[in-house]
Amino acid sequence: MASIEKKNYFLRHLFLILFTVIVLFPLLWVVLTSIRRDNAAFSPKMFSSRLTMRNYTTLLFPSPNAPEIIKEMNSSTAYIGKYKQYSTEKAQKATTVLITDLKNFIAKSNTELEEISLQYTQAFELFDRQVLSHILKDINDLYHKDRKIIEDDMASLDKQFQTLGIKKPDTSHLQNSVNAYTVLREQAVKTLFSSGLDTKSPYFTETEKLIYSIPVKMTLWKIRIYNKWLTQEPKVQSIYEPINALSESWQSVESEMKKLSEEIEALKSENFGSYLQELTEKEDELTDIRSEIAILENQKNSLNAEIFATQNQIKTVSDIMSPEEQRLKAAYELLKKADIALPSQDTMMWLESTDEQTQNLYSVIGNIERAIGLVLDDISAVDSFGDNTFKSLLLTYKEVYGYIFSAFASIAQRRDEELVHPAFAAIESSSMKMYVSVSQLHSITSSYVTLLEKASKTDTTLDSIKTKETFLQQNLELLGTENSDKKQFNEKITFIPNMTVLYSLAQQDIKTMNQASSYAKIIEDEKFYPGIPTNLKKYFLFKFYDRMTESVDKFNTAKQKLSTMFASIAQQSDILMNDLTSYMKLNYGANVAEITPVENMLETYQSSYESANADMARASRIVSDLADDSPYGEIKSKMRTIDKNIYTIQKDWEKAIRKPFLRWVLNSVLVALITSLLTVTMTSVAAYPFSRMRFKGRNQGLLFLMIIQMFPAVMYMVSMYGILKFIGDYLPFIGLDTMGGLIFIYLGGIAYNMWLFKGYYDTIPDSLEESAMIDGATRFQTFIKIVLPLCLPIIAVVTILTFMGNFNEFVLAKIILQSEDKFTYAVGLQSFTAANGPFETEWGIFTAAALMGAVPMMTIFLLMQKWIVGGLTQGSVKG
Amino acid sequence: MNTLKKVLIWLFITVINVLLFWVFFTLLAFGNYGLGIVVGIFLAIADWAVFSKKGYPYRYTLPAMFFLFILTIYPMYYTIKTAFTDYGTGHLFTRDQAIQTLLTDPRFNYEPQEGKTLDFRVYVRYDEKFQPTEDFRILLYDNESIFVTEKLSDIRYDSKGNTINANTRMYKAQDDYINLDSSSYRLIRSVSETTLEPFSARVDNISAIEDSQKIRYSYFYSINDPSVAGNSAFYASVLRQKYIGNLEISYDTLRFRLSDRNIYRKFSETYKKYDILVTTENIGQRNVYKTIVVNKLASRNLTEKDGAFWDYDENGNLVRLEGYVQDIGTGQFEKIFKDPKITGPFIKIFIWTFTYAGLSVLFTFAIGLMLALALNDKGLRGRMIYRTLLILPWAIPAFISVLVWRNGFFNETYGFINKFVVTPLGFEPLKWLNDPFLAKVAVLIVNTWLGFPYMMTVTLGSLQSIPEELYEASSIDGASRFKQFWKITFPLLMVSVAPLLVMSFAFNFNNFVNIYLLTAGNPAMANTNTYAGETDILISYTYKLAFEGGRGQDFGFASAISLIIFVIVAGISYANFKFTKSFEEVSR
Repeated sequence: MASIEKKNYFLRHLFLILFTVIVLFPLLWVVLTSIRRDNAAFSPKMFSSRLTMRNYTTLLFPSPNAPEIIKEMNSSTAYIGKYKQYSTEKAQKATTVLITDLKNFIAKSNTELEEISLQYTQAFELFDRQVLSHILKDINDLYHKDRKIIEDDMASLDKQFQTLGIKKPDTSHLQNSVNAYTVLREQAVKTLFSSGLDTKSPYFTETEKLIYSIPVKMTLWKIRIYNKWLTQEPKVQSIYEPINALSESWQSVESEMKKLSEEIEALKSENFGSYLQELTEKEDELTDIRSEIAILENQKNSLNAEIFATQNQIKTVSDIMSPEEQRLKAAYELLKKADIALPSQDTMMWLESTDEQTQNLYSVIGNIERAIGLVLDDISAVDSFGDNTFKSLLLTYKEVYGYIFSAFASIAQRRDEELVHPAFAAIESSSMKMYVSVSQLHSITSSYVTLLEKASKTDTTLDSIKTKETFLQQNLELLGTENSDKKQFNEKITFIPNMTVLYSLAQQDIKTMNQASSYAKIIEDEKFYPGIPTNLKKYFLFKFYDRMTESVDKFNTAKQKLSTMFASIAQQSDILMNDLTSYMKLNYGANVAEITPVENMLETYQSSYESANADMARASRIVSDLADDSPYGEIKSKMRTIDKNIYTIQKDWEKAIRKPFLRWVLNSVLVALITSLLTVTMTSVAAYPFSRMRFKGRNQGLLFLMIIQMFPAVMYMVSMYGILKFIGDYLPFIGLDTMGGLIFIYLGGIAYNMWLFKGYYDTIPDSLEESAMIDGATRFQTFIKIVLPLCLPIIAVVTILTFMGNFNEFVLAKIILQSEDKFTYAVGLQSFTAANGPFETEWGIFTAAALMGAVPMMTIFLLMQKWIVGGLTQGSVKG
Repeated sequence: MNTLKKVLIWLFITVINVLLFWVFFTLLAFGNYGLGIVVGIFLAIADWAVFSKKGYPYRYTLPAMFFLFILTIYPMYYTIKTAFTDYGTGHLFTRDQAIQTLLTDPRFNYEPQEGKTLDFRVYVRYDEKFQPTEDFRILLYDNESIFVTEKLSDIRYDSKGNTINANTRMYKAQDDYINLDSSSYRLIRSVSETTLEPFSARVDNISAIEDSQKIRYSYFYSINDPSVAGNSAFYASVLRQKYIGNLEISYDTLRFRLSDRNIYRKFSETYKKYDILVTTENIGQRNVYKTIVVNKLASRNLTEKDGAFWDYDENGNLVRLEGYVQDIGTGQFEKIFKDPKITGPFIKIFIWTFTYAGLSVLFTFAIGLMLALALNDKGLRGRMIYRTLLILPWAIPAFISVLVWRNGFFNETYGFINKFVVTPLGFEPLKWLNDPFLAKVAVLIVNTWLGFPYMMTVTLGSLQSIPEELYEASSIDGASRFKQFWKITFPLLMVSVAPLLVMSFAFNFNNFVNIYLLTAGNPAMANTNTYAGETDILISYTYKLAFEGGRGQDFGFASAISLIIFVIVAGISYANFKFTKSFEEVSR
């Protein structure tokens, strides 16, 4: 029995733990995202190891960064914003402080740049001293694995040649020439290293990489490296010859490869000729059909767009016509009632005798009638119109106009009659109104019908071609599966030359990082030999040094740009500082003159920071990747430090968008606090008689309180808005967009608290008050002096709960508060997530802000759990 | 001491009484009868409570009652009243306010073709720190005379503190002097040459105006003078914005304003287009006075229809000028049932509101019950830890969680779910917030996440109150655990939990925050001319109608829907009360 119990608990724990983890995952995510240094929204990583508290400090202790200081200077020198009322002296003082701050930033960032440079140097030293031997060993292990794969591939190919009974092509010539190439390569490397050239020079690195890479791109090297290097170092001459020889040797390797390839092709067509031909033919056909399909689909899309546009046109016309429908119908009814016979005399004759306006109207009506008939013909040809409203509208029109047109003469003649007159006038005005659009309608619908026909034709063609495609593809697949081993074999043997080259080269171990990088480049080009599975991670070690170099290069470029920018900004700020007194007087008194140094600073920042930042970001990205993936502890921490320092510079200089977060929190706390204190004061007093006295309306009052607590304040939103709008016209401090207004509105939520208090008062025995009253105290005195002190716990609870409720309230605040600096925390937080806003992807800031609101509220909730749960389940709190 | 106390109390009562009386009458005078009557009734009750012995218990409740009256009872009345009007964009003001606008708004001014046009220069008094002040005079001139304005008078502001009107007079200068009864002005010239041609050159050298108190107004700004362009910022953002833009200058019977026709570069004769007229209408036996608006130019009465004033423009088309709120009876409700572009979406929203609330309750309760059953075992170790952890989604303010879900998890491009769950499994990224079905799924997922801890907690509480003996007895009778659950646990549980489920339903029925912050009701519904979205529930629909005026605000319609919600929620609550008999507690 006991063992079964245990097993049960295990499953239960498992379920509970799993469930808890899933449920709490969003919270975990919020916490970890808020301390991420990288931008979580754009990162492919779920969590990051690059951590920072910066998001919190930015929100809690907002201090302007360098570009903001420059902007501030712009305001202070022009006396705008908060400097509007400043005197020259005061503004000058403020500007001086700003300049000093800016200079501090520049000094700090310069030191940091130097610091980072130093760290890079240390990192490279560390690499040479400690990491190089490890990494080469690891690289060679991977390298040997690759060699083993090639070996296995070759062995299996040999076997297949045997079973198929085909003679394997001879690779020995190729092997020999590769061996010759390898010998030359060794010589070239030896010459390079013994030449006494500077091994740290980028030219050296490039040259070494060239020697190890295939194909040997001699010409390119000559132009890009050798010629330039030669101007600096005459010693370089000594390496030209060996490399040239190497290049020539590679060319002979290539020609051997080509020969071998031709041999293999011949072999293929000899043994698998017919199969291969069929395959190519089918593949060609398929490509043709696919391109045809693409063309047709394009046509279809443009047709659809046209159809859509035409539909819109029709809709526009129908929007003009439908409002007239009722009117015309009514006119029609009236006319019918007037019992108008068809004209007895010839309409044409009568027309000639009447005035021009009527003739005109007759032709308009005739045209409308005809147009509608035509349109109806068009439309009934199209199924998609079915019996929608437009069609029924047209049918009505057809009936009405058919009638009017045939009986027009009679109608017009009797137009002064009581019944006929308004109808005639209505017909006239409606017809005139619609005439232009209706007469165009036919051309629209007819083109619509043509378009639809075209579209359906295209669809049919497309369908038939697609069937063909499927068929062909199946055919091809069938061909493939039937001859799958043939196909594979064919594909494999194509690569025999490349395989041979790789294998021969792989006889030697990797000795330098440059060699490793060249090798990785060959393998990563999957066309060269697809037999070795590549993925980005695998060759990470091979390129470790390369990437370090790239990172430091990027950083140096950025450093260069930043230093120039810093120097220029510093210079401009000196200019400003020197003549500050004069500059400050320029704009005093509502004048508007550009202060050139400040303008220049802004200009310099705007033109140069972005590109420097891009370089820095790249450098820091590489470094952080290296840190994440590196198995070598020493260098890992160095990389982390560099990354962190770059981040600091970026934060100091990037364009910051700020939100008054502290203000929001303060607003929320103020509103919630004032509201809860007022509410508790009012309700604690108001609930007392409900508990202690019996009076008329008590039961109804309690009932009323219980009922209105069912209706959330959200439902009154229109009226709350209206009330504040009205009051605000006379008492601006409790109008819309004010804290006062919000507090006022929140005071409406007292019903629930009344019940809480009443419930608590009920638990206090009457006897205490009775004895006090016998001693001469009034009712009110006993309440204040005896009951209230006993109720302190519930007062505290209700205060806190109300505080919480109002802090968490969103809707009314959203309706009432409009300007950003008046927002409460809830409304402010929402503005972080505005779609397409600047903060939509700034998850670090957003989650930090969210967490700072959530944690206190969560803590209060957990502490007050008993009261919240109790209150909810019982409708009132007892004891 | 006691006397002092009494005096103070009496003083207090008097002050409050006077204040409330004043408020009462002011409200009636403004035509806000609803609020006025509410305040009046409160005043009556309050005085009765204070002065009558019987009213003693009520005295305690007075402050709370005041706010209940204004913030609960009056809003109910307001909502009902608004539901029967067309209050909304185009109909925002009362008829009186609309008439006021017609009379005062510069849009309804006209400048006669042959009217006089004057150029102007602004002269400003500088303070001792040489900053320009807002005390200024305007010098106006044509080709023969120079005028100078007096100090502004009759400045009126709107509720936001913007000037809507200011008046002043101007006087003609005679030999550079203006002599008035109370004061005089002297024009000060930099070059004392007064015969230059053209005439404007004679104005150009007036560098200041000095009044009889020797206050000097220095030349500050003129639109035609590039040398003072540096001052344009102050002129445009302070002087024109605050005063000159709405200034009317009178000279004899002529009235001048900054000319619209001359793109505000000159002053020209400008007059009001409309005036009011009181007419009498015979309705039955009585004469009813009615204010109508007249177009002075064409001397015709304005047409009033569809709750707005209309007038004919130059081309003879009837143009809508200014709307006002009017009673339209049950028009808003008829719209719901008769306008096909509203009925369809409304019914969809109506059904979804119920579905949403129902499914929310179902899911939260199912999960909550499951967890409660798992946790309701004293032998289970760490159950307090589980309970505390699982209650967290409830402990976090809902708006925060919803925003996190929306931004971090359901975002289509960057969101966690698409990036780390959907795409790695080989699916196309899901359109969580833009696909009607998926948006509904998202809303329900989040609401379930938010709501299950509550259900878990209350269910756990009820489970613990079921006596053990029942289980012991039934297991002796050989009942299986499954049977025990269905025959004992569940029925007993439902007795105490069912009312809470109903309440939860009512709560979710109005769960605005979740819907609004997660999807904002989107994606938008097709074929509708209101602002309806696929995930909108009634209350968020109301909000959007009233406050997110992509197509204008429609308070009337919003109120009508509010009323419908009132009725539904009241129905649910009433049924629940009946069911649980909570009323009994009231009469205890």
